Amino acid sequence: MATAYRFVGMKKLCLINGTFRRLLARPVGQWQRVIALCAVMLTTPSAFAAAPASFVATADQPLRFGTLVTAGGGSRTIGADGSTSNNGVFALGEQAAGPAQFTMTYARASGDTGVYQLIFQVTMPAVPPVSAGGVQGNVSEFTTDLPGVPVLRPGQTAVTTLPACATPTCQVTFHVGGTLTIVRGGGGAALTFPLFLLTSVTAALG
Amino acid sequence: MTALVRLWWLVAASGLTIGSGARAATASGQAAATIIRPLTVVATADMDFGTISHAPGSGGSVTVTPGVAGAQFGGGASAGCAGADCAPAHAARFAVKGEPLRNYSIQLPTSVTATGTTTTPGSSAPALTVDHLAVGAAGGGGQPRLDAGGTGQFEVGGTITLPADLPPAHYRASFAVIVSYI
Repeated sequence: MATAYRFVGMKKLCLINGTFRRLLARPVGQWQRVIALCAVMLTTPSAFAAAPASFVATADQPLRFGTLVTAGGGSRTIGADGSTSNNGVFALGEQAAGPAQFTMTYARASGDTGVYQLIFQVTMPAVPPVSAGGVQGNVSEFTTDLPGVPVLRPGQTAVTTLPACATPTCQVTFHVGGTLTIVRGGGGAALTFPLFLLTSVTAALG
Repeated sequence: MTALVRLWWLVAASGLTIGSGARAATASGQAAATIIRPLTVVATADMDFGTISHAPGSGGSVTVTPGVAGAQFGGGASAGCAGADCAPAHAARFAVKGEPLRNYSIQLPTSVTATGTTTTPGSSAPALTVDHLAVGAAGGGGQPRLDAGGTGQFEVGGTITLPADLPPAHYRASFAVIVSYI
């Protein structure tokens, strides 16, 4: 407990502006020890924080293509902005169509009050085609409304930035659209495709 | 002093990147769609008013009703024949195929114009109007619905109005029905 208290005190020593003037009065050897300790503490904030920083990604809404009528096949595109376009399919109005929604949440370590620029990486693995009930479907050509990421190609990593994270929890909510291509040999089916999103915070710049 | 500068650089660099290890997370979402068979509709029997006669100088009307055999006559109109000599009057019949257990709607025109071909050379037959078109789905009222096999039937009836002194003629009309999922 005494050690923890000393660490917290040293952290303040490192960050408070007036500390430098006090440090300047110290011998060089003591300087080096203090600065080295500061460096270690600043690079490992979780060593003394009550709650470490965390990062969570959630799927809030599925990518919904709705109920589609087609003779032999066709395609439907749902934009990240919710726009739709059809080719060879007729959409019934019974099910609302819309883009998928994901949220990335970065919760900073408790006591951390800085303003950071967060850099996220987003990767979507390829989505396998699905066959059921005489219908084959494939989802591709993913689009997003993430700044700077209009297209999300399967397997490729996109980078996006949250310029100013100043609150204890910072979130980025975005939408993913795509194109469903259908080949119908007969019958009908409910098609479900897994949509995984691999995300990471690669840097928090302060 | 050199060591001091180097250490300051270390402190400054550590302040730029906080939590430098990447924190990863995976979100498991899905994409979903329901694909259904298109609806098809085929006429399996024409609307048939049968053979009609009417009293001289008086008009009349003939109605065929979905689900009801034969015709109902009004005014001066009556059946022109009976028994095996006459084709029985009946409503039009349609067969529907599509996605099992789906409701569908039926759209009809408000009226249909029938054109006649007289059986008396040198005379002409005026066009007649078939209106009060009514639909009846097999199996009773309510919303038309495809069965578990994806099939359904419905009938369309109507009323044809006959003016007085109509010359003998054979009348035909065609009309479109539109079925759609709801």
